[in-house]
Amino acid sequence: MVAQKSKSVSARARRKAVIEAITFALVLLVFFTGLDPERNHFLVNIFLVLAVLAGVVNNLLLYRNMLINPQGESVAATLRRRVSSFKQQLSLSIAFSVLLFAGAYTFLLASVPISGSKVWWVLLVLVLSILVRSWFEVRRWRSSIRQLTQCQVQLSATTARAG
Amino acid sequence: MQISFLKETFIHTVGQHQGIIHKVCRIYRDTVEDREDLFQEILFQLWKAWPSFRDESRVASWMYKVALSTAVARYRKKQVLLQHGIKDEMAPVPKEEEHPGKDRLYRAISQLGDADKAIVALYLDDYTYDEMADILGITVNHVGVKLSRIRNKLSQTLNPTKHGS
Repeated sequence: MVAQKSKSVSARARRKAVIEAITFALVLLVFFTGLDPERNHFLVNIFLVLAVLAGVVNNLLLYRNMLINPQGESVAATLRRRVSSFKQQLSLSIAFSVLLFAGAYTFLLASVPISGSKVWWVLLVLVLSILVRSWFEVRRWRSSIRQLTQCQVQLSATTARAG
Repeated sequence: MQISFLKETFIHTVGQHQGIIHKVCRIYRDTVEDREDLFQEILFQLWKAWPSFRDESRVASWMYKVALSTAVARYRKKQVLLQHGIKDEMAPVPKEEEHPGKDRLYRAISQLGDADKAIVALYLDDYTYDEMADILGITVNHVGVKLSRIRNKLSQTLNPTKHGS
């Protein structure tokens, strides 16, 4: 006989949001105190700040999306709404990854003269960084979306067969 | 003033139908700890939705909608545990009477998919096909087809020898 014990994912999301917000604040502190922001154009600095703020907003949205908020609608409607909000969250997280790495790399390299093939290497590292983070995001949301989609399929399975 | 009135009516109304929450928790979660966790979550969702609830003649249906939506839509990572490792957690919920037949039925129900569990929960509470269709968001015909398949599945789980021969 086996039993399945559940782990609360919303509690983890809450913890993650707090930890990431602190990390972002520390990253900004390090970038703006130890990495000579005065050498950069002020727009580059603002871009980094906006990218980090986008990260905080992303985490707030993530936490909001973890809340279910059924308003007395049907189970099928709740599932549809939740799957769509999870997919939206995944897209937002990937968009945030692009912003974050673009902001950080621009900040770090704006005042460094880069020429020739080095530009391509920098771009390659940037794309790889974005891809790795996006892959983690996809992996993280895939199981949530799959679990809910399975339930949607179970509910509508008869529709297909009976129809 | 208004909040205390809301609170009072909420406690009174939900308290009268709290069996619904217990049933949903029992069907959807295997361990006592998880059931308590889900119970709190459902109560919280009911409380949040309470101010917008109007149709007091259908409290039970509304509670089922919120409770089932919460149980089904709440993502959780599953950890499979061996029974001997979770002896304490698998102990029956306090206040619940020992009933071997009922326990067997609930064990069989726990092997169904999440959507099927919702149908069974409503069926056990004598809901009509129309009401089940409204709560679940599917057509009445689908409820009928689904229930017939679930009955077969449960019958196979509860009487494996009969179906094996």
